[in-house]
Amino acid sequence: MDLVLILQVLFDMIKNNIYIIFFFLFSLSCDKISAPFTEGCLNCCGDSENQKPIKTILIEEFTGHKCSNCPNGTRIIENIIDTYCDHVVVLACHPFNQDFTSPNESGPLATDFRTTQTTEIAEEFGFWGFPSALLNRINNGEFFQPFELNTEIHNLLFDENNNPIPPDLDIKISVSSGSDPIITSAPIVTSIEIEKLNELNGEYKLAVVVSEDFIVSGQYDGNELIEDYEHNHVYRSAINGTWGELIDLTEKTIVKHYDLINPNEINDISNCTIVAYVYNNETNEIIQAAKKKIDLFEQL
Amino acid sequence: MKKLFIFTLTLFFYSNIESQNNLSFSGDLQISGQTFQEDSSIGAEKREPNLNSYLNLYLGYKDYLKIGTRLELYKNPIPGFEEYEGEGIAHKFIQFQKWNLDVTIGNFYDQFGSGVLFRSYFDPNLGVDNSVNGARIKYRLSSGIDLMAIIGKQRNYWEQGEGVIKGFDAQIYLNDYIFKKSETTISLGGSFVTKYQKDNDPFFILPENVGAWSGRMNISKGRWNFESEYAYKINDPSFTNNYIYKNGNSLILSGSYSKKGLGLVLSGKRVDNMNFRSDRDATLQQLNINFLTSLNKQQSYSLATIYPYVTQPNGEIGIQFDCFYKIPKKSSLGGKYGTELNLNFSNCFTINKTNPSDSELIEQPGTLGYESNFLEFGNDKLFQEINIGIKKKINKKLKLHTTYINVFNNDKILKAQKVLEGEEHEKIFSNIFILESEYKIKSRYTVKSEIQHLQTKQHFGNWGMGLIEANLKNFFFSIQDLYNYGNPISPTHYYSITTGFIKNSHRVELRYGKVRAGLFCVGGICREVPASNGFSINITSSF
Repeated sequence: MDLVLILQVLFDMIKNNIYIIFFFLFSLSCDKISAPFTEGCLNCCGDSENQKPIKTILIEEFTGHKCSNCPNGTRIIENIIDTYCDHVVVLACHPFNQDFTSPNESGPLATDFRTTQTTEIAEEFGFWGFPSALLNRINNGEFFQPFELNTEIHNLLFDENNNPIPPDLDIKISVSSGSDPIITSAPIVTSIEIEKLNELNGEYKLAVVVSEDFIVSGQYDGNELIEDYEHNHVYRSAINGTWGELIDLTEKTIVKHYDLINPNEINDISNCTIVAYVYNNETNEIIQAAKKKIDLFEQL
Repeated sequence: MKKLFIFTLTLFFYSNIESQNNLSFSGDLQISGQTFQEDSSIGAEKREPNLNSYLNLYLGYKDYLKIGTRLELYKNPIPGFEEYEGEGIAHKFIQFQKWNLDVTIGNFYDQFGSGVLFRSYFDPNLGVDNSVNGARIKYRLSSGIDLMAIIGKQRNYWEQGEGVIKGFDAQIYLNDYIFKKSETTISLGGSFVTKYQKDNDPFFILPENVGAWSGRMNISKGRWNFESEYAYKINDPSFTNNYIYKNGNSLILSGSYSKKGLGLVLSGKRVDNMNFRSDRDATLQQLNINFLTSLNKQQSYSLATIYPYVTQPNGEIGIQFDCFYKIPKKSSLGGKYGTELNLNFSNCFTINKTNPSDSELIEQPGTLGYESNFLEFGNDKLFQEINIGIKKKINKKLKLHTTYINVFNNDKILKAQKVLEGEEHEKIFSNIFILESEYKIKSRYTVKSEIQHLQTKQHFGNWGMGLIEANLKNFFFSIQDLYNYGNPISPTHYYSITTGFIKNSHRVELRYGKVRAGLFCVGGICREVPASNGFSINITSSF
């Protein structure tokens, strides 16, 4: 068949149906959404007080007080905490070598939130910019943008039928004062009890970290400098090093004790939380995390 | 699609045997390569040499059938282009044009009106290629009525975006029907575009179909011309607008008057939450469906490009006034050849934004975001620029062009400039003086020089620039030095030597030198360029 004839047949088909084609393309629709714009997630809010262990993930939020978009990332993460509650532990990481985290000599942005440990983590996993977050260090430490977290978190915590995925480990943290709890310079003893719930292959490490809430200091938020911004979940120090220590998971239960001497970086020990997590030393993926607020008066 | 493409190619070659005279073949080629050596004085890192190149090939049959493809190759692309790494066929299409009908299947570039709802285009220097892969139908219903419909997915580096876009545009030239004898010509246009993307978010209730419409009008009479376009977009929570549910809108107005030796243009625009992408999670230059016109002068002088304005799709309001006047020849001020004067003024402000309710913050995710009074300006001026240019032909051989530019760039809000360690973004005020001369030795032999100075007390301080360029028939040669002598840490030279050859539609350029880190912008769309030091080669050719 001649090419021109084929084309003519094709053109005739299109030409004769041009109104149908335009009508089809014009059948365009819009979804107008009315408030509320968010939906609740049934049974998403885990209960760590329950006897049955729940899977808990760690979000390492990379942020900076001069990063004007970072509060938006933080707000997304706060929404995640509201949704997934005890399933989520957050550490706000302020690495060195970044314009957005450097402190001023004076003024509302003079607080130095930076730590060498968060810098090492940033460098290890190829930090690319603010705001971003590591989520259980999955995908060998992929940095996600905050808006990408929701879907990923849901997939980590719930199966296809929306049933909670059970954890491989249970981590229990207890905090006790070595001597007089009123004297804050006295060592605080942190005990981490790890109970193995499933058989695990490979090498695993336990890392224990101190974070601090309610630090009031400056923060750019959009175009505005908020002088009394409340910084929460701030990564303050690593109790057993940036990368933690190897643990022997041939035993069903492991207990570790650490002394916490009030480090200089911490403003107020009563606003601090002990965060512990266990990760696969080969894939870097965190398999379980836990947190415990340091409550000195609980020890009295 | 691939099978259809191969089928059509086969038909082409089958046809080729019978009627070679009906075939036409054309194309164009660009090859760019660069080496990168470490240079701590400008913060340049050592990298593997890179190569960016593409080849467009077009095959036409008579005047109504055309197929085309583009092969691309990116080896070790610079930061910001990493996702282009690789090679392959990035663009392919089959186009039929006959009987008032124009059908394209495959990748295509096009736009509705000014592009405020839909514009797909290719700019390899910016790393922009948001071509639509699908189908486009254009149909001239009758004289003066043009219709266009599109459907497809957009290119996202080597993949396609998740969202499907559909659009329809109509353009009507009223004088073909009414006011036939009127000296006033009027045309009206309207567009509708939707995108579809599945809602997989467990937290936000996201609209899967986001629609937008626009209306436009163009009236011209004699030396006067008036253009306007208004666009509206329904709730489109996305990463770029911080997941707010406010509707978006945009208005562009422009009036102009022109006659021999005089041109006046006054334009204004307001943009409110009009970032429109086919993937709500896309960032940077990814998957933009629309294009927001920039209302400020497009600078080409090197120091005038240091503090460019970056279009703010989440909200901006501004004006531009441009005036061109040529003082007539043989007048006392115009001299023997006349004198050209150009004045350009532009500015941009934030738009007014107030809390949608007492309990919600402005731009809080999962809320309406903010309310905005359409006519009220925001509290902050983002950008302002005044350009005054005088161009004078002194004699048959010598031309002079002098320019003064006053720039205010609110980098405290725009945060587009790189800052020194420990420093903060700040408001930048600068004055730029430029003197350009061109001396014609003989036909196709010219020597050009530029002296530029940028004065500012902020950011990296003062700059100077000197350039000498010689065009000797088919060869060109230039030496340039940008000197940041006001740099608060250490004064820095950015020198370069360039040479090359032009023959017909073929051009080869070799360059050695340093490139400052900064923003490269075209029409308000910008990308960051890292500092570099090394050799580069650029070859362009069309056939």
